[in-house]
Formats: sequence, C-alpha cells, structure tokens
Amino acid sequence: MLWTSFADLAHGFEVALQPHNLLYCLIGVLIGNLVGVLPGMGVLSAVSILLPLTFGMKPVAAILMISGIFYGAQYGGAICSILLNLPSHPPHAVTCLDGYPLTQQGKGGVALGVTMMGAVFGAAFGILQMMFLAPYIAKVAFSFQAAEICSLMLLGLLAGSTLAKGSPLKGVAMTAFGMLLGLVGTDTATSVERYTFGRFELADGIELVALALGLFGIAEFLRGVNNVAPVNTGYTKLRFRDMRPSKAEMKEAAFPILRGTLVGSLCSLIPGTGPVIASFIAYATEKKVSKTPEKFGHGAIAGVAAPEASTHSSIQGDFIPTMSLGIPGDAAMALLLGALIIHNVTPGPRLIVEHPDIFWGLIASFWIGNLILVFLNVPMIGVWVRLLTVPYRYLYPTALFFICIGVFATRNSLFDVGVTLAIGLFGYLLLLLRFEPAPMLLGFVLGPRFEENFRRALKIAQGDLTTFVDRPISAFFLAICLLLVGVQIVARIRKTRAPVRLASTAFD
Amino acid sequence: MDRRDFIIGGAAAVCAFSGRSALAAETLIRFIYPYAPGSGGDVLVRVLADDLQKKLGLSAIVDNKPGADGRIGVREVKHADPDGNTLLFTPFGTMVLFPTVFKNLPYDAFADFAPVTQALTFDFGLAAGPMSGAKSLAELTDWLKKNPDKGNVGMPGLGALPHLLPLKYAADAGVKLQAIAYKGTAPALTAAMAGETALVSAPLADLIAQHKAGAIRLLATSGKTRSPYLPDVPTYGEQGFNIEGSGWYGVFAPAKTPRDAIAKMNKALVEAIHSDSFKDRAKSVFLTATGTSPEELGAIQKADYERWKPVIEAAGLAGK
Amino acid sequence: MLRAIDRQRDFYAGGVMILVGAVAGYVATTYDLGSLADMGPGFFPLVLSVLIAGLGVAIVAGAGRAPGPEVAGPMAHAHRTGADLRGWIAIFSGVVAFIVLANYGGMAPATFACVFVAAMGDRRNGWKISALLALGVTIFAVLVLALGLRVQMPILKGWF
Repeated sequence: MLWTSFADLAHGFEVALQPHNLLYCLIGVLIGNLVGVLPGMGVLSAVSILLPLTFGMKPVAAILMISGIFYGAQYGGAICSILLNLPSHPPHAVTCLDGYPLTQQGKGGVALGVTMMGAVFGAAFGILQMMFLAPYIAKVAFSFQAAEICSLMLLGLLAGSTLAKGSPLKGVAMTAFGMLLGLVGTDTATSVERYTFGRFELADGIELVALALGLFGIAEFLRGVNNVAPVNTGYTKLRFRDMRPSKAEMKEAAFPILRGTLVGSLCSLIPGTGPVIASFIAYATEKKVSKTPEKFGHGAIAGVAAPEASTHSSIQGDFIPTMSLGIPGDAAMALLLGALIIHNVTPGPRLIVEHPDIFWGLIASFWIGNLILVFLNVPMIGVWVRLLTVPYRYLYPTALFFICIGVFATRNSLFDVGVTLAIGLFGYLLLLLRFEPAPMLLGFVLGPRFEENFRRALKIAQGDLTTFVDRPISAFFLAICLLLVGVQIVARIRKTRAPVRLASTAFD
Repeated sequence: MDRRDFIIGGAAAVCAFSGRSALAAETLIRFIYPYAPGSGGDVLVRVLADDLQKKLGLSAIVDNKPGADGRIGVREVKHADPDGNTLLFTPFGTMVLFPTVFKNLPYDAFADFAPVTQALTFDFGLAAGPMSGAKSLAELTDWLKKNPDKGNVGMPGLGALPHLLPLKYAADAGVKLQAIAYKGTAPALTAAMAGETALVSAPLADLIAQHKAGAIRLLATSGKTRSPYLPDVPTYGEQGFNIEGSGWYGVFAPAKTPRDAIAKMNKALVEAIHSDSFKDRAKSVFLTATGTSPEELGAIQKADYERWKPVIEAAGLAGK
Repeated sequence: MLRAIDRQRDFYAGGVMILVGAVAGYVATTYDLGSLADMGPGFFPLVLSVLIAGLGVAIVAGAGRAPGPEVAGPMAHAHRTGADLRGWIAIFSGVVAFIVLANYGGMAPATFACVFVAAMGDRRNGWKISALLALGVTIFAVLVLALGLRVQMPILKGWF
C-alpha cells in the first residue's frame, strides 16, 4: 500500500511538473496569495470569478490552479490580521487577537514568521494525511452525525466564551448576540425566513465577511480616524533578524502548532466544519491548555501559532472527503467539484482509481505550491512589515475601499455593502460600550451549526434528549463541556473571594 | 471653441457613446444564471453560450447572480432591457414552484417573463442508505412499517420535488416518513451513507455516482420512463405508485421582448441544443437535451404550475 | 471618577443588550415554536433573546460594582474617547458613495469617490492629497480587481 502510494506520487509529480501544469499551479497560488492579502476578497469570490475562465483549460491544469487559489489565500490571509488588525480573510480573524498586540509590541515580523512555521507544518501534515490515509479517514465523517456535531459546537461555544478580554458577562452576551445574527436568513429545517424583515437579499443570511469587516474594519476606522497616534515608528528601521522568531519563540510556538494542526485536521474531516471553525476552536483550545492563559489577547505567540497551523491543515484536509468520497465538505469544495464537472470529470468515490492523474497530480502540486508559497512569502515578510510605515490617514481610506469591493465581490451584492456599514456603525457603538467583537464572530460561526444540528438530532431521535449522551463521541464532548464549566466555576469562586474585597477597599 | 461647437461636440460624443453601447448590446447575449458558478446547470449554460459563439458567431457570456435560492437573479432579468439579449437560464423551480412556495416573490413567473425554449430535462431519485438495506420500494415499505421511528428521508431543502415526491410515496404506501432538510445535496447524501437517515431524495444526477459505487441504492426514479442512465432502476410508476414528476431547465426573456427577437433566439438556441456536442455534454452530467418552441415551454410551465400547486398546498408548504 | 464612567458605560451597555433582546424576542414570537421532537424556527431565537436580555440585566446590575481589568483594546493607542464628527461623516459617506456610484457609475467612479471622501475625513488630508490617493487606488482597482481578478462590476457603466 505504502509503496504503491509512492509510485503513484512519483507519477503525480510527473503530472504536476509538466511545464503547462506547473505554470497554472504557480498562477493559482499567486492569485490566491494576492486575494488573501486584499481585505475582503474571499477565496470563494475569487474562485467563482475565475472558474468560468478555466473552461477552456485542460482538467488537470484547471484543478491545480483552483486548488492553488484555496491554499495560496491562506498564506496571504494572516498578513492584514497581524499587521493592521483587519481580518481580510475569515479564517484568520482569530489571528488578530494576538497577532495585532504582537505588532504593537514591535514584533509584527516575528508573528508573521511564526505564521509561516505554522503554515508549513499544518499544510505538510494535511497533505501527508491525504496521501496515506485519505480512503480510511474519509469515513470518519460518518461518525460525526447531527448529535456529535452539535456537542462539538457547544464545546466550541463554551471554550470560546473565554475569548474575550475584560468582562466575561459581556463576552457571553456578545457570543449570544453573534448567534442571533447567525440566525438571520432562511431556516434550513423549515425554510422559514427569520429576521429578514421582508428583504429577500437577507434570505441567505449575513455574510461572514460583512460581519468581520464591519466589526474589525469599519467600526475600528470610526474609532481610529483622527485619533490614532503614530505608533508605527519602530518599524522604519527594521533589520532582517528582527523578523526572525528567536529560539525561545520558536519553542513557544512548537506545541501550539502541533495542537493546532491536529484540531485543524479533525475539523476538516467533519462535514461542513471548515477552516474558520477550526481556527476558533484551535485558539480556544490553546487558551484552555496554556499555562499562561492571561497572556492571550496581549500578544501570546501561541495565540497566533495554533489557529494559523489549524487553518492550513484544515484547508488541506478539506480536500480529503471531496476527493475520496466525491462529497464536498463546504461551499469552497463544492465549487472545486463544480470545476471537476465542468471538465467532464465525475467526482465520486471512484475518482482516485479512475483519474489517478488528477488525484496524485493534485497532491504533488500541493507540495510544489506550498514550497513556492514559502519561498515567496518568507522574503516578503520584510516588505509586508513596511506596510506599517504607511500613515494611518492613507491606510484607512484605502482599506475602506477594499472592504467595500471585497464584500461586494463575495456574492455580487451592493446590499451586503450596506449591511457591512450598518454592522460597522452598530459595532462602533458596541466598542464604545467596551464589548469585544471576537466572541460575536465565534457565536456567528458556531451558533447556526449548533442550532441546525441540535434540531436535526432531536428530530431524528424523535425528541429524545438522551441521544446526546447515548452516542459515545457526543457524550465525550459533553463531558468535556461539563468539565470546562466546572473548572470555570471553581476557579471563579476561589479567585473572586479575595480580589473583590481588595477591589472594594481600593475604591471606597 | 465657442459654445455652439461645444454643444454640438458634446451631442456628437453622446451619440457616439450611445451608438457604441447599442451596437455592443446588439451582439452580446447575456445569460443570467441565478446560482453560483459550478453548481447544477452552470456547466450547461456555459456550453450553450460557447456553442452560440462558435457556431452562430454571436458573442455570449454567462453571469452568475446567486442569492435567495435564485430569486435575486430572476428579479434581475425581470428588470433587464427587453431587447432579446438578456436571457434567464433557470431550473424550473423558480418559474413553477416558487409562485406557490413564496408569498412575497419579487417577480411574477408568468407576467414578467416570456418563455424562449426548454433546454434540458432531468429526473429525481429516491435512494436508500445502508440502514434499511431495501432494494425496492416494496421492501422499503415493509421495512418502514416495521421501523416507524426510523422513517427519515434527507433532502436538499423543502418545498421542491425531492421533498414532494417521497411525501406522496409515504402517503400512498401508508407509511410514516419524516422529511429532514439539509443544506444542499452533499450533506443529505452523506447522512444517508452514514446511516443518520434511512433515505435520501435528490436530483438523480447527484445520486448516480454513489449508487454506482454501492454506497447507496436507488429505489425509484421519478420520470415517466426509466432514466437512460440507469436502465435497471424502475420508476415509481412501475412499482405501483402514481408518482411522476420531472424537472427541467428553461430559457426565459423579459416579458416585453419583441416576438421576432424571441423567435430569432429560439431558433439559434434550439440549433445549439440539438447539436451533438451539447447533447454529449448533457449526457455527461446525466441530463437530457430537449429544445422546444416558446409556446411549448409556456404550456409546460403552466401545466407544471397547476399540477404542483395543490400538492404544495396540501403539504402545508405554501407561502404564509 | 473612572468608576463613575465605568458604571455609566455598563449601564448603557446592559441597556443596549436588553433592547436587542426585547426586539429580537418580540420578532421571535411571530415564528412557530414547535415541539421538542420537531422544533420550530422560533425556539432558538426566543431562547437567545431571553438570554441576551437577561445578560443585559446582569450587566446593568453589576454596573461599576466590580471594575474588571482595564481593557487594552486592539486600538489601545487611540485616545480613549474622541467624538470626531468629520471623520465619522467621511467614512459613512465614503461607503454610501461607493454603493451609489457602483450602482450607477461603475467601479472607477465608485472607487475614486469612496477613497476620496473617506480620506477627507482625516484633518491632515487636504483635497489634493485625497484626490491623489483616490487616483492611485482607482488605478490599482481597475488593473488588479477589474482586469486581473474580473470582479463582476463594470469599470465605467455603459463603456466597459
């Protein structure tokens, strides 16, 4: 088995290294990288736009190019999150939380370096997994049914409620508010349109990009305009060694990268659980297992390393159910399958056998593409960091435009741009009231999947709530949930007793 | 340059500008497909546009306008210039089922559009996952009678034929079947394969690959006759059920498009649809190329609307 | 002093959440609640609305009582407050200009107007600098987004 894999891989490299295919792989990763850097321009929109153009191409070249856009975008995605606190690409929204504080401490380059380490490791793991285990672990998806997904989402929501800095009460409120926003649109189970106020433009719900860029983009600009002191002076005289993570920092990142990679690979196998959810869960996990959770949100290396690694391993892992079962895990993969169909390749369980050139060529091109991306991006770190020397007064109008066009391009809707503005205005109010936007994103991402699967699980079990504990995987997740809540309560009781007294004496 | 020159020059520029756009509009045919690229009929409308371009020397493009189950794209065509150059390529749902399913539809499927031609037809399938092990509708009925609490059928969304057909089967066979809606065919298919639901109901084309691989087993197809792609799977009718319903893709123009423009488009499109390259392409995604006259499509639309309206209302799925 | 501000802020913060919960809850009651075995579309919205309103009450009740650790927001270097009408109007109008012009004019005028108007919000930006910046971004947008990535928006409506 192993040896045939290697022989197949060798054939794959032959395919991927044909000048024609190599060229399209290169074009794909370059476009992806560019799209990833530009705020708001999502992978989905880029692929939607470019898919028709691949129509006249050979199937292998087309698939290599489109896949290249997917993983290439992840390399660019972290840059604006870390340097500008602008989540240009949803899977990297959570990277803002610690990436931007690192930048403020003059360690923006280091954070990008750690991102690269995470990317390489996560991607390599994802590809290896696809090479050797694809046919076996694709079936893991079958163990994750409604009850399991529901319990996992609950775990993510509970773990993530500690994402916030400051008041935990406000953090939970924001998570719930995010879940509420996630309900906007057509209810899957009953086809009823909720909170659309008669506007069918809202029937598909609020776009994640619109929410993220409204909260982190427009709201922040409203706060920052004419208010931001020039902080970025430290970056004008930057040397290369300032950008390289030190040995200690690499050590600090190592285990978070490993854990993040595993979280990402698990998430990629669960249908409909893509890189965005993976990155949030990886961050929450990391904060939970960390010995210094108080450092999170103030520039913890682990808070950048874990979600980044998980994003990359999840993106690569996403290809597994798609290629080996012919069933796409999320919208992006559905597009990829669409591309296969356009090129007269029927996706399905027999794809690997019937089209080994596509499957193994794709894997080989993953290696090549990721290699290109690393060689491209590591030297570019220095250039990106220069972005910080651009004065805010030039930066925010430009970024504002990219937000508008990016949100528009996601589904060619100017209505969505208006939604983004509305979210930005309300988000600004929330910022003034000291609410944190991150838990809102978490609730928005996990909430609808929680609801959908909770209701589906109960419907299938005929209203029997024990279905959640009867099923072992679900019970396992619920046990962790209980543990989390228990630990939290105990810690809170212990902690608050003393400091409250202390605080009251200090203030009265 | 005095003022008069300026005005004349300006007027000339305006004429030149409008003349240019009129010229461009005359030669460019724009198909609006109200769903995302790569989904369902997207491939075929692109082949169609390509054929028009190659064979008839017209330039044709496809614009994807996804959103709200197709309602956004359809509305866009309603408001497009009725010059015969903007056409809607849509599955039948938006034109036949939506008028009953949605209360506030932003268009009138009959008054706002002029039919041009039906392009393709397709069937729906009902398939069993490993849970029941049923190989025919009769075996399924037996199994469902013994396991009334396991009668779940997964489907991509409510109110469409993959929902209505199994519902009718359950009523006719006297068994309990619960509809479980998923976001699209892919998760519904996974659920049946994994044993979360007993059955999956979806467009036949989406089920064939997994059926051939043995992961699911097709029990019935929804056409009048067997699907040419699956000659060994019987229809509902053959198994004693009075259930039949096919889907189609059609081309529509804005209502006020002149009759001769529609006739011209119909001729070009039917020629392209009847070409071997288009037929082959349709076969590769398990659809059947048709190509009808505008009147025939209008009649099909009306008949299908009247046929499904009472079924949707009886199922309690009509817009409230 | 700081405590008074905190208390007042938490008071409003809780109030906003109560309002959100009340409005969302009211709308939720118009949806079907369903049963445990077949939950309707109204169940979750109602639960969430009650939860949000409840948290709002808790925030109001706790206002100023236990001052949390000072929040170092992502823009901690920004002044704490700063009513900046010019900036706000510019950013708001920039986005509105984009929406309007993208609809009627195309990508080039929309880009230019959006960047120009937004840039005028900064007191140090004159109209010349703003126009220059807007021009630069417009050129980039046309070359990379319109011609390169083929974003589905005409560059200039009626022309391209």
